[in-house]
Amino acid sequence: MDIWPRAWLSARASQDSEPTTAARRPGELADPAAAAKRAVARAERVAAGLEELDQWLGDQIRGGIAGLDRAGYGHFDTMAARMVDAQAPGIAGMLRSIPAEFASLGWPSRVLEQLGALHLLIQAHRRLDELPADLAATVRARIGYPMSKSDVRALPGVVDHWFAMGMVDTAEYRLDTRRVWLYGADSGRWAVIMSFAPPGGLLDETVLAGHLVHAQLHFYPGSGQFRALIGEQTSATTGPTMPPAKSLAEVRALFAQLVASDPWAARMPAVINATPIAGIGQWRLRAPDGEYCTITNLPEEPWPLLARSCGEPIRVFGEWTPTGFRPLTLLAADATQPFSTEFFSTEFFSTAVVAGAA
Amino acid sequence: MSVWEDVVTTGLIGTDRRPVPDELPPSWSAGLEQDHDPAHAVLSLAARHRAASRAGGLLPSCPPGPIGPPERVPVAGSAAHEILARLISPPQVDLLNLWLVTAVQAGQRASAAYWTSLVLVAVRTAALDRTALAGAIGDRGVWFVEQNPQWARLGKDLRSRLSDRASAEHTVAGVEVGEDAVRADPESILAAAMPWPDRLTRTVLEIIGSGRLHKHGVRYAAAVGARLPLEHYELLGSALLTSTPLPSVREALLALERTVWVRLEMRSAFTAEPIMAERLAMPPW
Repeated sequence: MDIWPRAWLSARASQDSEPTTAARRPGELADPAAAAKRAVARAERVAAGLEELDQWLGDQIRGGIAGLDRAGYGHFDTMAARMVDAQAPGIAGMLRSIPAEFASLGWPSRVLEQLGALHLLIQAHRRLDELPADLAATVRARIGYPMSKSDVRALPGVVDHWFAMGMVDTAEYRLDTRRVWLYGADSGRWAVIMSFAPPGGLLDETVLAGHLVHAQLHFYPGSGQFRALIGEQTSATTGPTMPPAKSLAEVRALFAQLVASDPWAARMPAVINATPIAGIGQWRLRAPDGEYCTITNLPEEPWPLLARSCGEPIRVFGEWTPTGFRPLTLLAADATQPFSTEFFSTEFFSTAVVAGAA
Repeated sequence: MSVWEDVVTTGLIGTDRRPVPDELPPSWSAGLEQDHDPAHAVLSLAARHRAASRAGGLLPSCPPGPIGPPERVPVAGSAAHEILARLISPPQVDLLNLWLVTAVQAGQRASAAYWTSLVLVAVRTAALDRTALAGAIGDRGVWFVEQNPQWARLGKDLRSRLSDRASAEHTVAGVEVGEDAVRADPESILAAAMPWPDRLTRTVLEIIGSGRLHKHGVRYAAAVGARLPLEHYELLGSALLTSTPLPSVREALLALERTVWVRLEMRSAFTAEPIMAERLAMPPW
């Protein structure tokens, strides 16, 4: 069994073995040798946990998954707890998301796919040293290896005018999560700033939807990675720039590229030009060429979308996911009016006109 | 049965009881020989199918949905909508009615961004003036309401009122009312011909300021505020100074001042004319 890069860890340990009393730079460790030792111990623990998970997955498939819907959340929570013990919180999160699939028809196919994704992650972890560096970083991130903010900020940043196109707050297993999607005017790059809090806790409000920041963003390592941290900020010298809308076919092609670089990717930011069509239990966003995607993950029916559209195409920013599109922001029909962006609130989907950027 | 359905069936029943499909297309079977364990082979196939279905395939198509009628009435400006946003959350129905009526009278309509919120208020309370709502969202807005089966009754109501635009203008002829009549029956001012003279305003302020209306003072003051000539706003200043220092009086005068001030803001927002009055400060009692 391959253990996560001992060679790299020992090299890093020897590089940083000289004690110093000077102030540490971002990403510099206080005691590199001890940190390397902890990292090795963690990697071994994760590897052992994943072997246990592999055995568990095999048992599910050998016995058949037909009865899993009756086993309930507890069946998966038990294994998820084992993964938390094994210091693989990313895996635990993937396991906990599976029972939600039982609520709708066609769950065997989707559950089998999710188990397959876990299997793929185990395989990738076993071959971590052989993988390209970016993909290896993605695998580590998906499993839940921690990366300190100072380490991320030590990586080269991307300076740009970043406009917060939209945001969404979710509650996922005892944790409130906020995603704020940013678009870089010059780089044309997307980024997501994530913050976490215990239920009812305060989420980070440094950057909210509608804000414009001129800043250096430091991206987490990994292929297809959007997650970033905000580094040094300066005053914005220009207004926000809106990304152009893409056709559904273009968005799907971009998601295919993302899946190729990160097979576990769950979402991607996108601006689309489409017409909302109301339906019982399922809303659609129809492109001018007739193709459509379903609207997904909304707490209420998206009537504000239809009010703005009245059957005509509108520009919408949101998250593209394998199960559909989650609208987050309505954009002005006229791309020259960047501030007439409207953001959904979770309550009643009432809309608020953003008067200006922060 | 497709290859994937075959794999799912094996996954459901279990590899102990059903073999992995053996006639797999080359693109499916590549590299699978490394998986000696049938369970792992199923999991590998599932991972491949997951990636393929996320990355490939075509999106379905559907015919276009219904299209609303074209917009004929200009949309009110951002200043008017800033007021609307304030009145709508939480809903202040009396003031919302004033906004809707003012919009209709100004020949403007509410932005589509607010239709859903307005409709949700209208569904919850019959106090929202539906004639004014129909006029303020127009033919296109009423079409929007009609698209939601849960709003069918409201949609039908709005459609019928849309044709009766004259009533939406709320031009009530009113009757001549004297100061003595108002003193005898304070509610009679609500039927007075508008705009009424400043002596009637002073009489009404005297009634509110005396505290004789007790707990009904706030409702009365709000109703008066919806009708008081805007040019009389500054007369409120002396009423604030001379009124009986009772909490109920204070509440009533606050309601009156707030209502008249919002109307001043609305007039300014819809006509782009500045407000010529200074906002009155409530003295500490």
